[in-house]
Amino acid sequence: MSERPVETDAAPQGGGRWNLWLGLGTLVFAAVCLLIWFPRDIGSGFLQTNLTGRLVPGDAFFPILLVGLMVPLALLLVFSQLRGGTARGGEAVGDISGANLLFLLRAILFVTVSLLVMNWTGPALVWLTNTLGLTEVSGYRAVSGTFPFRASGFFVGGTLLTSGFIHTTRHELRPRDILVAALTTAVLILIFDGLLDNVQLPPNADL
Amino acid sequence: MKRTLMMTASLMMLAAPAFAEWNPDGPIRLWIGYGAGGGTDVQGRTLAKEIEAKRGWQVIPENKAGEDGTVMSAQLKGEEPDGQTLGFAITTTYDFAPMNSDNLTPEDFTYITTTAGSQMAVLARAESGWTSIEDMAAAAAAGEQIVWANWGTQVEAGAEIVARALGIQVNHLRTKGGRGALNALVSMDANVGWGGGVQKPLVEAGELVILASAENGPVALAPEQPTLKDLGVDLNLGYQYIITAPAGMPDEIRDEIAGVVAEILADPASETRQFIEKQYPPAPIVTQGAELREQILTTYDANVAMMKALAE
Amino acid sequence: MDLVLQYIGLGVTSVFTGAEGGLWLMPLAMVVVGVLVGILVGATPGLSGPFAMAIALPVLVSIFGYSNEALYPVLGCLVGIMKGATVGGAVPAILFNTPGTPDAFLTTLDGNPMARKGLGRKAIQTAHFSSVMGDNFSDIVLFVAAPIIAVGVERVLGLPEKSALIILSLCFMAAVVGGAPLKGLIGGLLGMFVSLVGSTLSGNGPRLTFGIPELGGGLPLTSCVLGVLVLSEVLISIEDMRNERRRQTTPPEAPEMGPKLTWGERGRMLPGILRGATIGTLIGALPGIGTTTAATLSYDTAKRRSKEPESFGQGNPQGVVATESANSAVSGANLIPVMSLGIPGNFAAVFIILAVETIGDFAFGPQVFRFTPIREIEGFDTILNKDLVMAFGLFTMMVMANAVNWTVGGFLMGLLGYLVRIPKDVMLPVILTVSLTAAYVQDGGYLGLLSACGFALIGYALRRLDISILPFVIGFLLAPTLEGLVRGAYTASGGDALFLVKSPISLVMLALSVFLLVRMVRQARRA
Repeated sequence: MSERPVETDAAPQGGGRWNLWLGLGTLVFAAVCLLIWFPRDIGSGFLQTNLTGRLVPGDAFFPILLVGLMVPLALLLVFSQLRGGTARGGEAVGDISGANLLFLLRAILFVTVSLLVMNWTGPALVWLTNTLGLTEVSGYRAVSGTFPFRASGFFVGGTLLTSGFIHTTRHELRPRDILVAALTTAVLILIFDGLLDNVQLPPNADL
Repeated sequence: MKRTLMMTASLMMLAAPAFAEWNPDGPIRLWIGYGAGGGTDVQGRTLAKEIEAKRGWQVIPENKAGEDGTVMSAQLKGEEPDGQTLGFAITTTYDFAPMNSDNLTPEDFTYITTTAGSQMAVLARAESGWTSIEDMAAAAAAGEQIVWANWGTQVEAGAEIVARALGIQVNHLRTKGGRGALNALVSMDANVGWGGGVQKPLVEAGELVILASAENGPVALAPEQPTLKDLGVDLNLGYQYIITAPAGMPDEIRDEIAGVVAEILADPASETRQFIEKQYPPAPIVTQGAELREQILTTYDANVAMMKALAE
Repeated sequence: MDLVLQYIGLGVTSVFTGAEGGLWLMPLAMVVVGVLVGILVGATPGLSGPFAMAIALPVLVSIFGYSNEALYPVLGCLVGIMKGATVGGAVPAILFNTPGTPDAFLTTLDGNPMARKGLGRKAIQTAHFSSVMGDNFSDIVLFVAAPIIAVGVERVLGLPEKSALIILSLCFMAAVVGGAPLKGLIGGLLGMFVSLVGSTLSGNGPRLTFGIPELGGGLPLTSCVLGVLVLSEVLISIEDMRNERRRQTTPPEAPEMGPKLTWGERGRMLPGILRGATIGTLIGALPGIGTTTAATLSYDTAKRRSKEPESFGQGNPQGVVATESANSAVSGANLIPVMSLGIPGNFAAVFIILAVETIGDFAFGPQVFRFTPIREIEGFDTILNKDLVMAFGLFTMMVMANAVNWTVGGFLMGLLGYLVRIPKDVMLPVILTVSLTAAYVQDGGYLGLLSACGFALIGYALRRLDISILPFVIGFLLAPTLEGLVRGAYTASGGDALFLVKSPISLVMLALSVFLLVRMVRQARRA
């Protein structure tokens, strides 16, 4: 995974334009950081006076230095690209296509849905058992340390997450894929909830 | 700063009712303001286990590390004050840190109980040959560059106060936590530093020496060394480990939780107590309720005054 | 010398001694588990050692906890995975012409033709023998070099020099990694920048948190690295599989295995192994240059030195020897900068450092190798440098992992050809769920999980744009240290703005960094 053989030649068609976008994007990022973000979100300035009255680097010192160093590099990236024309010139670069972005969007949506299911299954189960008269608890928080409630959300959400991505890779979902997903989630519950007592499964550490 | 030792604890125990007046509705989450694996974490987790055993409440410890407990406290502030979310940090988090924070004040919290106290001391490498603050001052006067390792604004202010009292020049080195200060000392990046308790093994090993105590009394590792107050520097940097909750918690919940902790810490067989006796000697420090709140608020005012005086 | 032996003895025994002083075999067991997992992972195309280490670390920490005692089992398992993976990658490369790990790519050149000629067993045993020999060689270099370098460094380097050294290694890494140094450098700066989110040394409250209190403690390290390394790769593989319209692949038949490797043949390989291992060790000791470079360099050297260069690529065992000995030698040598300076040079080293920083109160760096005289005080305790004992304990576990590689590893490699392939289209989604769960459980709840997701997107973009991830990750890990050092050096110097260039050593290092930068820029403009 770490070191793939370096591809020195043949940047994909149109890939060269990414140097331009990356360079410009970095410049915009630097501008936003230096002009908007840093002034509002860093407590002390580039330099600050310490207790002894000396000027010392403040909390903004390093961030400004790093972002500042990005500017000349980004400019170089843009210029070497423009000078060489879009056909050749500039560094080798890959490409992120519209299809890639669409895939990412789907993946993000899917993870979000699974996490929401993880969060809501527990409360839903409590509501159900309360309605059926099996339990009388004030809410999920009160039973978030009790099995099976504490693992219910993770079991359903985790199974959904795994089987969803299996569907993505296989373009189909066989019953045994769901079984594999449910089993691996169950094994995770067994390890993290059964064998270990000092850790918490999602969503129980965020109630 | 008042410290009520085990006497309060035993009194609390007598006063504690035979059975609980308040019981939580579900698990109690104990947010530890420090990273997993450290001394604070171990203390918090052991205590959580013993509260469970004592009352049958389910206590779930969670680590929320960062900035000496202030990151945890900023989150704790917004929780329900129903006794089911508690914080574990040090008194400095509440009686000093809010000064530099836009979103924290000492009034944001209910103070339940302290458990143990620090062993704040001025440290130097053994090979420096110094055995007292005066030796260090003499070395500084003779032209040696003094670099003082500090882990926070408060102790840096303390170092500056000591330096001014001694009439010497000190360069301050800011380190990451108490352990960072020790590392700076050992790797010779600094030649003086503060230690709040983590210095124990290195002092015992003879690598570091204690020059003075920054507590109200001498520290356990070097009972023969004077306190800074003995030396004419009006400074107490000692702190206690403290259990807190969001502001507005009903008194009966606060007292119920405080009572359990006092009961545990008064029991010589308690694991938490034994840990404290070893790590933060000599014994647990239990200040609770209104008295504790009073302590935090007065210390906060004193600290504000101290920083104001320094800045002038 | 006596003292050194004493410390080595303590280190070795410490691995087998539990907290109560009894015999403790957990570290040994975890080393064995690690090596076995490593070999399997290495043999699975699409998975690699660092990949498995990234997922194993949070799981192991959940299991063993954070105390000093947890360090040996966790490190043992990680070291085992690291070493096992370097061996396992060769098997599918030889038998099926698909490298199990990227650095085994060159093994296919001669290994697969050998297998097709009916010499599969010989090829695998050649790969195993040279791989393990190369690994052992570089470990020995590590054991000797790390303490010597550390002692030297400790004596010479102060705060300004340590700052300059980190700057130099970051520049070096950006310069040598990948074909896009400018973008690599921007990535490195970005990695450094994001690590500054959260806590500050000044005590003025958290910075760059968008007002989210949870971020005040900074981004959770393990989860972020897990996201940028593992999750991004998983996402890309999932996407690629989705786009490849259902391709029904029957598992390829394992070819005829053929005769065993004789001891005479092994003996004749030794010069080749020594050459490959030396190249791998030298490359591995430099940060940022990876196994692939080492293998390529070694293969080319072997080919040039050979009397029959035309036979390379046709099934010459010397080709397998050259690649496998070199790429395995990298793994031990990589730990030289880690253990002596605290600077990681590749992904495997990143996880060793992360483990050490997460668990217990042990830290890598020059202070580890202080040979404090061992003194026993009656009725009290023994005074010694516990870090040094730990370091020798780690070395001991590396030797144990090598022993497992020698014995069980060789046996297992012979069997791998027959193992049923794990279907990747089911395995990757499972890995995704396991990674996200591990991030949640071990690294601060949704904060950890969402950081992992966010960093997965960064990693995805970097990978798709062919920008190396290594400078980003190393920058992310080293920036807080660098900030502390620079601030410290500045204030400790009494506010001297020129503190970085006052010492000749740091001046030389900074000049080298500038030289590297200029070279990179030139390169980019010439391209």
